[in-house]
Amino acid sequence: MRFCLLRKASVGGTSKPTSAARGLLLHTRRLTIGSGPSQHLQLAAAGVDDRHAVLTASALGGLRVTSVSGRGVGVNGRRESRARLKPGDVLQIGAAKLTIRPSRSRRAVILEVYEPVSEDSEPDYGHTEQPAPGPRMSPWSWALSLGFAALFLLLPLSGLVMPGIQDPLRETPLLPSDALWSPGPLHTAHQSIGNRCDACHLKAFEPVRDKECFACHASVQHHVNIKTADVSLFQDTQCTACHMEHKQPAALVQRDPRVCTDCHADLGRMKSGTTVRNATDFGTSHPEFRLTVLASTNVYQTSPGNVDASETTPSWQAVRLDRDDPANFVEHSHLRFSHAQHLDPKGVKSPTGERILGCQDCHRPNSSGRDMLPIRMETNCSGCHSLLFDEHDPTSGVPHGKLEAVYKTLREHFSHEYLEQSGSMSPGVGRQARRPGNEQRAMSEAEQRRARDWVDTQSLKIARELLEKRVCANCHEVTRVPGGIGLEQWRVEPVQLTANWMPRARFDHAAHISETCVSCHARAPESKHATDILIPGIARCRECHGGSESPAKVASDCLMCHPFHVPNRGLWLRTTANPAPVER
Amino acid sequence: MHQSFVNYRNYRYGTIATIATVATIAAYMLDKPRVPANGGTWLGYTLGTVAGLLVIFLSLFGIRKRSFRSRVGTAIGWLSAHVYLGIAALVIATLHSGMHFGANVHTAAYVLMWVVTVSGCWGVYVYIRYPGLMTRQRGNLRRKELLQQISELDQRSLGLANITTRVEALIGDSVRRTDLGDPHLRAQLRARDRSYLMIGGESASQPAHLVPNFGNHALIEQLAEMRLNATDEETRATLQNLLECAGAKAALLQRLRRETKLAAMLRVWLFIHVPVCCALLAALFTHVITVFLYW
Repeated sequence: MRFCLLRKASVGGTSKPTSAARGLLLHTRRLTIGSGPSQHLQLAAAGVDDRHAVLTASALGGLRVTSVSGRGVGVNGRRESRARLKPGDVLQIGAAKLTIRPSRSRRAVILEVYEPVSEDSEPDYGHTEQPAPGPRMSPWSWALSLGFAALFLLLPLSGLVMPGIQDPLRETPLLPSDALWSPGPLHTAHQSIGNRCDACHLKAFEPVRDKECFACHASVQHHVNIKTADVSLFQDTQCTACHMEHKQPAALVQRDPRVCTDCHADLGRMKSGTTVRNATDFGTSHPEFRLTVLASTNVYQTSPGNVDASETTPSWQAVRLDRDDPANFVEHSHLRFSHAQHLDPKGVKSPTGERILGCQDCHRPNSSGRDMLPIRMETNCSGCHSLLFDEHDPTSGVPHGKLEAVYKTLREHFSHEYLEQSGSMSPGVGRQARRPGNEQRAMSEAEQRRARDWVDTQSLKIARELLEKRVCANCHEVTRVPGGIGLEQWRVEPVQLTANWMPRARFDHAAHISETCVSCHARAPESKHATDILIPGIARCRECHGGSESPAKVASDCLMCHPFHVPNRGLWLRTTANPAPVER
Repeated sequence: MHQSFVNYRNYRYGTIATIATVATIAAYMLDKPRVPANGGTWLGYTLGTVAGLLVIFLSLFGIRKRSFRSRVGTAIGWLSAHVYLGIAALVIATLHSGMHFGANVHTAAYVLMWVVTVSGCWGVYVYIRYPGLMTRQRGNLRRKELLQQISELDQRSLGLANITTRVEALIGDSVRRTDLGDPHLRAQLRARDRSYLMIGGESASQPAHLVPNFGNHALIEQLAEMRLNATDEETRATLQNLLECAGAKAALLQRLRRETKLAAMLRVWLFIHVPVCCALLAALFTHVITVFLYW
């Protein structure tokens, strides 16, 4: 479609063509009209927008005007946003007037343009004045600040006030809930709580209380015996003193040593006369280990209802040993044992010949690897130490256990031997069965007495030999009881091997697997007596372990070895929620 | 030496901010809290209080700079304090956080603080650098003088143009279709030459069409071609004059556009700085409330 633009300017009210030949021929289907520089028909008149209107010509010769600005277009005096045009129509765009002139060709539109132009008009270059203020900031400022507060404070807060919308907020992805207020993650152990903040934060603007912890952790043990007055020292101690959540890195226990050393640096200040020694740092300020061993009180208590002196139960008492007191730094297990002899590099005698023993031949870890299995005669010793009293007779073994059982076995053995030697059980004669009411005596009474005397003498002789010279006496401490008769002449001292030398501390053999046994238990290969204590002292630990801030060694805080919640001290819950009567 | 907000009172606020920052870093490094450093230790609470009060003080600058009658310090003193203490506040807030970040309102407040501070630093940069650039750009002429010169060149061209109708139409069209851009900020920042020129259209065989007239190139091209084809000496001389006017106008327009762009750059950072600062105040409020709501 061709457009022919005929410009006429109206100056001072009278209309005249600005130039006789201002006819401008344009080939386009869309003729753009506006004040902007990119418009086909640029109108400088007042009230014309940058892009104001578009004239569209269809292939069939129809003509339409569409207003692209909000101001609309006047068509024959009526304001329209779009309209069909025919020759003779007059368009009013701002102050300019456009007339559609009749054309001879259907494919040409003649447009007469009247534009009022003032004499002193100056061209407008767009933003020629000082930079315009641009968008105003305050709507943005209000929107951002109120939007933030509404989304991240008020909406989650409404969940607190109206429990009905709490769960939908929390469960719907992308909806803001109070989970957005969490300053850090929960420890994995507490993840099951999820985003139910009110599981612990029950009261607004109040720190979490112990009560909320006890809802799940009712069985937590105290640090001290809850029946003692020491409990009062922990009155103000909250769970959160050590167990802080939402911190990074997430940890169940905040392991700062001050949690312990606040008291343990000067325990006397907390409790006068305490026997617990002060400690502040494993590397520099920690007392030497005191070992706990069981000592027999040497008082044989007769069990009630059994007057037989042999049926006694030994009494054991835990005693703490000081390494600084070498005279008493011994273990009285009542065994005779030489590590040096067993670890002889040339080997020891065994049923299969000379055998070189190592530590692990007797000391085996338990299934967790933390501790050692207890040493037992049956598992660890009997492989080499047979209990035969007659080395030429493989059936002559005595049982390991009570002295009465040993004696009974001996008597049976010698009874059998007497009978065999007297010929009454010689082959050919056969054993005559006894029948009730028709008893046949195998021996006369005199013969029986003689036999019994012989058996007793022999048994006691062997028993003496075993208890005083070999087999039993090899390993056991046996005491002669003054004035005793028969078996009561001897007492085999009860054996108790210490299983846990440091019950107040934790030690994990498995964690030290890279060490050899003797790198810590150094004296074992030379130790000749069972009384020797082979547990290493603190100096050996300190070769690798330093204090909690040690830069060069394994940084070891209190909790690495000492648990705060000590088993069997009583429930912490009872001291806060429902205090038990305190013994003073 | 010229006193600006940078060296106001011999770097008074710069010194205060440096001392505060160094003291804060020293306190952070010396402090050995029982839990990993965070906003909830005593130092954390202290730094948080200081940083929060600083943020409120810094936002008061927005009010102070509008109250021209205020006698609370000088405007330049306030600006100097605003800049230096603003940077110190970010350092203090960083240490207050204990470097713990996550998808929560607390980190959101911290991120907003970064946005405000970085946009503010950008503002400091443009305030230091652009006024000088603008003066140089205008060749020490005021904006009005530049526009006056352009207008004079237009009038001169229009006066010279009445040699042929084609030249007259061309010059008139180029004057009308000269454009410096829209008044809104985005157009000012782009400062694109959106001038057009309608060429052709004298006969049916050559219909008129619009071409971009970037840097008056289209006009110069048309005039140069006409000059080449001109037969008489007088026409050629007039066309030569018109060409010179077109070239001079192009240079002046270029200066104006660059100056407009610089003037817009001088303000655009505020459109981030101020609204985000308002969001930061809301975030700060949310942060403080929620921390203690779920203590």
